[in-house]
Amino acid sequence: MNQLITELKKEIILQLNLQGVTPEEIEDNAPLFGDGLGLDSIDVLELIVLLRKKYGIKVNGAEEGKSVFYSVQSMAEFVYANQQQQQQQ
Amino acid sequence: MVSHNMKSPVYILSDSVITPLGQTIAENMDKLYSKVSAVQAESHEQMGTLYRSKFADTSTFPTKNNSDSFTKIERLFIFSIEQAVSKLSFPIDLSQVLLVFASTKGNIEYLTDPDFDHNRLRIGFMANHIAAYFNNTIPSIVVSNACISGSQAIQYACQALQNKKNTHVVVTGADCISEFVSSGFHSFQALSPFACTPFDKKRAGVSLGEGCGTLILSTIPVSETNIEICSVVSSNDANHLSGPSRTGEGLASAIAGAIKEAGIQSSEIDVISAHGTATLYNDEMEALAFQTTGVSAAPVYSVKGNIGHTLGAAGIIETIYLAHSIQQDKLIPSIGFSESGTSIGLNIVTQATTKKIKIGLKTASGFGGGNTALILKKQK
Amino acid sequence: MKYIITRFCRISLDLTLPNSVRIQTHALDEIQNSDFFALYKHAEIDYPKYFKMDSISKYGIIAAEYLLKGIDLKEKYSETDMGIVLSNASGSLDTDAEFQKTINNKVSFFPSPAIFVYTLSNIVMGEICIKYKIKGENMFFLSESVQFELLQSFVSDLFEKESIQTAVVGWVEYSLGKPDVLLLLVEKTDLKDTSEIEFTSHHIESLYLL
Repeated sequence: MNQLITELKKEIILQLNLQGVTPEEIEDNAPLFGDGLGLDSIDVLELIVLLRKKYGIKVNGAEEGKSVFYSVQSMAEFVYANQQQQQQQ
Repeated sequence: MVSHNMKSPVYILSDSVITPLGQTIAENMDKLYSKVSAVQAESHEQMGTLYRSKFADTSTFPTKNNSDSFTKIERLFIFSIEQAVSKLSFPIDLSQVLLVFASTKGNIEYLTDPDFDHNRLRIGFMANHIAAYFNNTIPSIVVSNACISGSQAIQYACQALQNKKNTHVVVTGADCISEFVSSGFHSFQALSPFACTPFDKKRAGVSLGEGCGTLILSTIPVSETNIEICSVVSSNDANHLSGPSRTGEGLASAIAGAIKEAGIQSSEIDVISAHGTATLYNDEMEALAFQTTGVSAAPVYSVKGNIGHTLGAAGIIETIYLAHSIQQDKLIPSIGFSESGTSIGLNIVTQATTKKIKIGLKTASGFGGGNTALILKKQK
Repeated sequence: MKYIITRFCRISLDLTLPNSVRIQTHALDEIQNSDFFALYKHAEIDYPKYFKMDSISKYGIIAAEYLLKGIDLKEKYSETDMGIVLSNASGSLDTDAEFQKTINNKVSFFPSPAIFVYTLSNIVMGEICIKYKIKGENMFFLSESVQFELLQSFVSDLFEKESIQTAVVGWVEYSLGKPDVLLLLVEKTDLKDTSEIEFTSHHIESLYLL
């Protein structure tokens, strides 16, 4: 899980062009949107593309997106759960 | 001391609309009144089922001279300009008249075509290429400001006419369906999974469309029935690139400006042709702007359910529809509406209704934060 | 009442040094490294959004920063009295090609929303509006070369009608890695200061040809 979290942080920085932000600076449980990293609605959409591209997971729309992308921790849990599901299938 | 130029009014002398609803205005208006939609389902391998208003592959746009070497959008422009000119009661020399174009993406579908003259990907070059068909070497004006391009092309044309630089101006706007644009809206999750339903509670995004609209404008009317363009005012939300301001203040500023410039009261607006793209945010924002400016009691409709969102052409096509609706004293119904989905209740037109109409308002908003409000008036 | 060019910023590729641009304004004339991070640092901007922008918007923001450095338009003008009229030849074609890459592969089809948002000619103008809260009249023209007369007459008319009290005007072109930018700040004056540059098509052209 920790590896996944670190990996996700790197991907987020890359995908969203977050200049000057290091993975160490992103707290696992800090909110990504609003006051946190200050991400916006286009960033949510990019993160949806990221999950599809890198992990083959589909996020349906903004509503599901809100809880999935709350923090890096919630993203990691979502990816992990999906990967478990994919392995079982 | 404040001095204003005495502005001569600008009149619509002739027009043309080419959409999947029809190639004549009569056909288009007839279908609008009868609540016919050209938005259809089409299957896309990567994006699933897309709902859009598209010309049949067999559609032809028979231009007077050979236009085989032109692309679909270029031919649409040419055909529409010729149609508008042919309806004039007097001849004009197309080689001598100012052409004002509006388009957001022009020939974008040829971006990956190695055999295509890539100069024509630049819309300024494309405009000159189209002007050459008419032996027109007067520098064309091209407006490209997202979905308000069409309305702003009209704004520019009115300014040029009022400054007595020209006696007649041809304003024309077009955009075509492309995988480029469809994929982009798809990535925004902004495409409706059913034919779009503006202002409705269940609305879920846009349906794209294609088409061309052309206006021939002049400060000299040829008939009492020529509709007058009273004012066109633009503003910018300065808030977000792809979402409208939540308060609607940008659009409200443009509407208030247009009302003031037209020298009327907001209560005199008899009908509103909204931008009404059917996204959650746009329709809500427009409702707020209508309330702020005191026009929310006026009958309002969107034609996006009939012809989809035609992007750069929308401002022109939809202004033409409004002009005819005013002329005919008949309200256009807002297709796809059943239950109010905006926090401000609006007076949505649900059936074609006969009503004395003198003044109409056309609104448009676009990516990049632009808003335009345009006011039309019957002469008598 | 006269309309004058009170400030300008010209950015073009420097032909003497590799990877360099020449930035000329009412206050400076420098050759700088064209690396986007270097430009950002040199312009002394604090605007992290810059790094999400496409190339043309980055140049637009850099030029606007130099144009308006040291002044706050909002102190002098209300937001709706500020206008902006820009133009270019290539629209957003450079970014269009970037977006196209994300949809070329039919198996690995991942259209990027962050890139798509920049695939319209006017977005560079939208970014400048957002940064400086320009909420008034705005217009974007496309033409093969700078239409000096068009910019002068259209903007002057907006001033005449009192639709605007100040405007950012110019040309923001970017194609094949080459920036070609001219931004002007146009204001009104009834002073008869002969050192002021009157807002004429001839003067716009002179600044473009610097």
